[in-house]
Order: sequence, then C-alpha cells, then structure tokens
Amino acid sequence: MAVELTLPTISPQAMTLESVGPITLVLGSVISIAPTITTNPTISGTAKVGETLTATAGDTTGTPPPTSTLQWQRSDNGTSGWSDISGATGTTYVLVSADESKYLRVEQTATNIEGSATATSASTSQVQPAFTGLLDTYSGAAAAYSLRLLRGDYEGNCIRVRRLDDNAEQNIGFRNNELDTSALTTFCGSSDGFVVTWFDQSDNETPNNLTQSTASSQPKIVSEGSVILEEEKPTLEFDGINDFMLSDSISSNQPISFFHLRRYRTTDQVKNALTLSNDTGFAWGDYFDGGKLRAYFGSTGSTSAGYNTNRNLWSVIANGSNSTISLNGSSTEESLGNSNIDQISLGRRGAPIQGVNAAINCQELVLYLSDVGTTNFEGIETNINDHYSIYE
Amino acid sequence: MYHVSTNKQDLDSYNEHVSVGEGYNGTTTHWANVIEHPNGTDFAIMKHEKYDSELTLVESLGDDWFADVDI
Repeated sequence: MAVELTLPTISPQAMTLESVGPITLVLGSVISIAPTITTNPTISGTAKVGETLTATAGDTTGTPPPTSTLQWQRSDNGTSGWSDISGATGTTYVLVSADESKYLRVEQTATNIEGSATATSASTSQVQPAFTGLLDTYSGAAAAYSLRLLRGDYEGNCIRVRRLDDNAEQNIGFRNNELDTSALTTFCGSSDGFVVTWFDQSDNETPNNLTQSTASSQPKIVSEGSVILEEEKPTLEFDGINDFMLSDSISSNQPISFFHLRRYRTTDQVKNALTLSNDTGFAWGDYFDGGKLRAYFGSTGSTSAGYNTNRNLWSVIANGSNSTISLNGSSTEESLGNSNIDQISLGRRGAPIQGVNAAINCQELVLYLSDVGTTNFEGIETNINDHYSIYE
Repeated sequence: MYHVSTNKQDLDSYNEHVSVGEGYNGTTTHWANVIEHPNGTDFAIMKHEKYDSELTLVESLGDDWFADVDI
C-alpha cells in the first residue's frame, strides 16, 4: 500500500504544525507481486568433513522486494530424501562427521507479503572424510618435511621457492593435500625454481625449518618450467656438488627415529644424503660408503642391499643396543653407537667435514627425538609407502 | 666451474659482485660459499654463468680440495 502526502506551500519562517494547515492523504492503488527466485542459489567450497561450504543466494524479484532465508539440507544419494539440517541456516556451513558420505545442498526461500518461493542449489559431491595425515596418527615429530600435507590442521606453507630469472621468492602451499604444483609453475614460469626453505610441518612451537640462503646451494624443484618428478610425484633435486639444506635449531641426546624417502642418483663412494649430527662429526643418518648404505658413522647399521640408485625408504630407530634399521620395510636389529645431535643436514654431511654432497632426489623426511616403538615404526613406514608406492 | 685464488678477499668480492648484481632478497642472501683448501692457502668459489672475472678458472675441484672423509 502506498501513501501520498499533499502539503500546502509554506514559507520556512512559518513552518510550524499549526501553520501548515490541513494535510490531505491520497490513497492510491498499489500492485504487489509475489516473489520469484530467478537464479538458483549456489554452493562453493570443498565437500570434506571439517571444511566450510559457502552458499550464495539466488537473485529474486517481487514487490515489495522479498527477503531470503537459507536452509542447508542433507541427502543420502544427492537426488532425493533431502532433510533439513537443524540450525543450519547461515550462509556458511562447516561439514561435520554426520555429513561424511552424504550430499548437501542449500534451499533458499524468498518471502514477501504476497507469499514465498523456494529454490535449491545443485548438490555437492559426496562429502569426503576429514583429512588424516601421517602426523595426525603419529604425533610428536621433532621435524617433518614433505611435499605432501602431513597434518590436518597444519596451516603453513610447504616450501619457499626462488625463481632463477629474477630471483624473486614466494611461499608455495598445498592443494588437495599435495604441494600446489599449479601455484609453483605459475610462479616460476619457464624459469628454474630452487627451494629456499622446506617448512617443518610438525606442531612444534618453533618449527625446525630446513633453509638454504646460499643461491648456488639450493636444491632444484622446477626445471625450465616443469616440476621435477620422482615416480610421478614432486621431488627436491640435490645436485651432489654443493646443494644442501640445514636446520640447526634442534638438539637432543635421546634416542631418535627417522624416516627418509630419497633416491641416490649415483653410487659414488662416500656420499651423505642425510646427517643428524653434532660438530664432532659423529652422526646418524643416511650414507653411502664401502659399497653399503649406512645409518651410523662406523661399522654398524649398514646394509649392502640399499647401495643402489632405487628410490628407497630408509628408516632407523637409533636406540643403542636395540636399534632398528629398515630398508623398504625390511628391518634388522643392530647395536648402534650413541651420539647427541644438534643439526639436520640434508644433502651433505654437516660440519666440520664438507665436500661429500649426495646427488639425491628427496621427497620426505620425518624425525622423532624418541624411540617410536615397533608398532609406530611399522605404521609410519606403511603410511609413507601407501602414499608413495615404494615397495610391495 | 670455479674461480680459484690464494686471496680469499678476491673471491669474497666476486661473491659480493654476483650477489648485488642478482639482487637477492628475502631468504636468499648471497651467491656461493668460499671453499677453503685443506692446505689453508688456496680458496675457490663456484662461478656464476652470467658473471665473468679475471680470476683463475678451473673446470672442477680435485679430491685434494676436500679432507679425507672417515665414516
């Protein structure tokens, strides 16, 4: 209904209620139009437990202009049997465990004095279970580097990259729980890309990132615009000349457990893919020497089976006399020496001896400053192998 | 390829020349590390392909540049 007021002409000086005089109200005819939703509402976001979906209401017409409300709905098959989710009436909705394997949509209702109209969005895809990373199951790592996401609530980046053509740097995160190779290649263009930082995904308050501030010593991850791959997954490529990465903020004199997925590209003698060491040079790690793969400086913790250029998972529990060394899930128990550690050196032996850099492709390194125990040890190996398909 | 010299400062200067020329910023701070020969008198630095120098150039560093490794 519209109301028109007709007022007499008045001067500003005389503008009082008394002086205005009579007011005439003219009631005109009014047209009201029922609501119509002209475009269906839409949903954006990832259909996975823990993720947030966002609804955008469709356009409406009607007189007076209708107001819209939203209601999220759930279905077992995505086509029928839709039921309202109690209390889910906002523009955003956080998927919960009850949504797993279901389908969601949003229903929009537009209302004015003439009535209401409803429209529904397209269904989401089937809601996937929440992401569970290696570190969600096997927590407590002191350092964890990977080109896949290892922890569901990790919000940091995967790597920091320098592109060769202009030396600009950029952090690269994850997409679908893997290194965001699309963002990586967009950033690098046709240039080479080198890893400046490999971010620690453990939940330590102070992360033990691996870094390399020297340009010529940074491992490569993009070659002339193409991501370097190892068995179809991204990898860091250490040149075997002077590439390495270092984290020196770690310290322990306790037993340790580590899991290192890498491939030596050559079988040159005396090459150090990984050292967990101190300045005296004694260390645990991943070395080629004397035709054997070794886990400890000295004669213990070695196997000739691993002296090759295959991609291997080298896993070790260094716990004195009951230590475990494992190549691709096949383990033996040995007595290893003891050493405290104060740095992680990847691609080269740490201080004080240099010049034994290893030409390796490395995809993952996880370190615990504890004996993780046999069950967890085997579980972590299985987790890594399930993702990378390293061995039968 | 490497530039070699008995004057470490010459190699530091080359490193600085490349680093400034490349305009490293962010986490990357410099081009390369100067390598010291075990004899304590010779030094080397990796050559950057875009930056020439009158310093002596060698194809690679021999094994004598690295201390014996005892694993």
